[in-house]
Amino acid sequence: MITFDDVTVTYGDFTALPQLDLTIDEGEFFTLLGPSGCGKSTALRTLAGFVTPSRGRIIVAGRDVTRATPDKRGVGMVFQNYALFPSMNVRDNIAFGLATRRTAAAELRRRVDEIAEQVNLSPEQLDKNISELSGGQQQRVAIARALILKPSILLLDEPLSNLDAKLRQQLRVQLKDLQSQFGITTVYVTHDQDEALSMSDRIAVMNQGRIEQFGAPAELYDASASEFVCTFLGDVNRLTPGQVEMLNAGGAGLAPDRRHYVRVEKIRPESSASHSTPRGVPLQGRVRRRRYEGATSTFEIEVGDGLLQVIRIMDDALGTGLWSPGDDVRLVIDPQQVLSYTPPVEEAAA
Amino acid sequence: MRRSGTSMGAMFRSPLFAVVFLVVAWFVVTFMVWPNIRLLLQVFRPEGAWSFDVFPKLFSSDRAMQSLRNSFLLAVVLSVSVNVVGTFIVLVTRYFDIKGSRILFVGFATTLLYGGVVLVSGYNLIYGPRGFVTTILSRFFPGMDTAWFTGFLAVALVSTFAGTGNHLLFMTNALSKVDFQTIEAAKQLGASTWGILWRIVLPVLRPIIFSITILTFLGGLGAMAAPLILGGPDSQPITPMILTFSNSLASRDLAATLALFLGLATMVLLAVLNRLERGGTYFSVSKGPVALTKQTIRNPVANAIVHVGAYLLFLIYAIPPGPITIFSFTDAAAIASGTISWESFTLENYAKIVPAPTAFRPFLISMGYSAVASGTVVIAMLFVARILQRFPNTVTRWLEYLLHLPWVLPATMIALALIITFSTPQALVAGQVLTGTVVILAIGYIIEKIPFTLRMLKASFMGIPESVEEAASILGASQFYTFRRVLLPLVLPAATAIAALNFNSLLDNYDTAVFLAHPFFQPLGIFIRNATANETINDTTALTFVYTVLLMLISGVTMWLVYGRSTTSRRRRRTWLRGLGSRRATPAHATATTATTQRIADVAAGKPDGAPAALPPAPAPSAGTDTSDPTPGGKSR
Repeated sequence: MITFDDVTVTYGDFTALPQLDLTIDEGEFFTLLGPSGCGKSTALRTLAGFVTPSRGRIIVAGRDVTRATPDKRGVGMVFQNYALFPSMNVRDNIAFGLATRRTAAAELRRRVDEIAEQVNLSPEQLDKNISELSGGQQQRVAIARALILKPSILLLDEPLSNLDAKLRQQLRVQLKDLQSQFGITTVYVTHDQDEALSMSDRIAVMNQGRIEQFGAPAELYDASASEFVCTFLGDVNRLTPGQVEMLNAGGAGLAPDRRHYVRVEKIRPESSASHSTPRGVPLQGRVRRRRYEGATSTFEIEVGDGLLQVIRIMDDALGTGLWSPGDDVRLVIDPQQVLSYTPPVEEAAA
Repeated sequence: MRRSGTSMGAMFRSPLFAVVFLVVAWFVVTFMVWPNIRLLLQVFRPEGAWSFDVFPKLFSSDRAMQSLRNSFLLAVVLSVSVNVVGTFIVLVTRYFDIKGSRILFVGFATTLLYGGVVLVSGYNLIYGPRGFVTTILSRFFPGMDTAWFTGFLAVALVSTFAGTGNHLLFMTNALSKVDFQTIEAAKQLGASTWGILWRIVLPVLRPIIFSITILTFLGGLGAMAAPLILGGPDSQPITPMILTFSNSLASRDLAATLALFLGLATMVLLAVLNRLERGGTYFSVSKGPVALTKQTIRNPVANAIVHVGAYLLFLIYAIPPGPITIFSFTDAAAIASGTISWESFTLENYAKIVPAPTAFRPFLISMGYSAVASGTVVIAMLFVARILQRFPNTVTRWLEYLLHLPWVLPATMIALALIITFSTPQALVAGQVLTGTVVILAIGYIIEKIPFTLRMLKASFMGIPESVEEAASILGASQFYTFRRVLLPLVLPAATAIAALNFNSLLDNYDTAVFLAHPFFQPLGIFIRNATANETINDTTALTFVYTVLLMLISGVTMWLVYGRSTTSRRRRRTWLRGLGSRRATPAHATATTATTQRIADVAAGKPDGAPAALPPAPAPSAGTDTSDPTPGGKSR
């Protein structure tokens, strides 16, 4: 178990992390998610021991490690660019940590072979230069290097951010599989919400050094606790006052002084050939534009005094692939699916 | 993608490129290839018949053999000592967290402001038999040997300190490219401060250490000024011996043979290091390297030792320039006695040179030669680099190889070959005799600066994204128009910087000038050397101090123009770019200009100024394409 207890990190006048309190459970895949500069990397680097907090404690497995050096915390780390040592081959990279602990040659060799097999690196690849490996292979070397010391915690600092989209998708799966295989507590830092949602057991969404919300991915997505979380995760429509009025006319009962959001996939067509009409308040609209995305299409629909984005799966059986610009359509919004937030005090006053 | 029209035929369609190519080809053949062939013939075919008599003659000459031994010994010693001291000063100013590292850097950087014969004279005027420090010391130890700072040790010491400039310029740059995340990763895996340095940082610096070692070795092999001034009779190496032998017609073949030895040693060394350098990845493999943060030495004892070592070295570096500057404002009596009072201070030394053309003459001659040579070479190589980049074919490739000859052959050999060849009328120069004229030194200077300039400029051209040129051609620009309006402005900052660096290094040149200078047009290096050779301290000594101060000033301004200013403007440009946001899609211009100094360091990393590189003259790939500076990108920190 990892505990951040009132951890504050300051750089001169700038407070990167004000009073972070967080508990990460044994064996879970925990993600720190947020935009650039939100403090997620600082939090990770504080846990790794590269940053010393000006206040607070970090407790790992019941031991206060706040002042411990990075190598004395029982953590392994995979860096954003992997930080593989360019002057060493794959084997020497992986063996590095053991070599600094003066492990006997035979033992060292055995453990490198063992970990390499576990992360799917072939014996031939072990003798290669780092520059001869693909991005995915480099990542596995970095993971093997971090895991060979059998740390109790694995830290991953945006390890997929430098890769192309396709590889990123593949490695997400591999990374998650490896984590389940080793059963190691993993703290993952990313700004990519898809990555966070698809891989994590729990996520903490961070903004300006503070945790906005933490919980299971579905919980965060369906019941975002703050406006920031709501807009940062997934695509949402902010309802205009006119649209809110239309929904209230249908009995939705939304408070007019609050801000209301509805996710793009939660707005449905009123009727389709094979489905019964969904629950909710019907709204009249006109298709203005269609954005084709292959498996899905996003439609921009004029409703009342504003536009709503609606995403549909391209399935002709549902009849939704047939919408064209200019068509009149009827949509249904379930008031239960509307996320409402009180605006910040200063904005409300203005 | 291969561009069409890279053949010679395509090149000759542009009249300008055709003329440039022909002129350069003529220059290469006339001044770089033919004289060296002549030199070989002079040695091995003296009277029209093959003869190898020169070898027994050489081997039986004790002086010649002793000089060979001295040269190799100096080269080996310097290869170690310069690397040790140079790496140390780079680490304490850029890698370790040492208190007052900025001050330290200023001290260590003094050798960038004055080098060669000026530096050696400076050390001699401070530590030599009549030097300031020696005079003071002998007051406390009346029986001491005033010539303590002479001989092999003095030569090695001075050459060591003089040689660390390359570390400061090029290793500093290489160090800044070490990915900081690798250091953190090693730390996280339990490596110690020294373990990280030894296993992570130094291996990445290996290519630069290779390059600097070659330079240093060759510098030691061809050392001229330091042994002449400080060496004493027993430790004279090859180059001064070549000079001595070349002065009499009877021993010119010996001079040429020694020069050949030098050339041969150079080529062997290049081949060996080239082989060693191959294989192994030294550059960062990561896509987003993170900038280096200074490392604290955790062990307090080691930390104290490193601090003390750094400041001791600082004193050694900083002492000569201080007194030199002070003495340039005092009279000869003060210099001779080493005692300074308020009355000793005077502006007379400076006042003397301003109106008096005779005193100022060597300075003017040096400035003239340096300006002409560095200007000519930069302008010519701008075209040549473009030709090489635009028309890669067998002929241009050979031209490129030949243009790198001055890196393979020692300056002494080239100078000797020029004197010997052009002492008789040569058809290639319309039957003129050039030896003894003012032209030949300019030619020597131009030859010396060709490889460095070419390699830098070619890298500059390579650094321009091909899309820029394609955009120009799609908009209908002709080849020459594209060159003039699009490419030239992009490489101009680099070209100016290179011209400035060339100018600087030629200003106090001694080694080439001593062979080629016209007797009535002697440049500064020779003047200073002669002033040092004088037995008595007189006004000429004071004048030497004045010249040294002026040289340091000029070099300081040049270095600031090339390095200092570009860092401030880089900062400004970044803000400017941020202001523009994404509107400016092609930051090619910014890349080309901000990367000027970066590239100078990069290119020179393969081959620092003045002598051979381990790399063959093939296009410098990393230097040309890698113009990014490692700043932490888009990471929340």
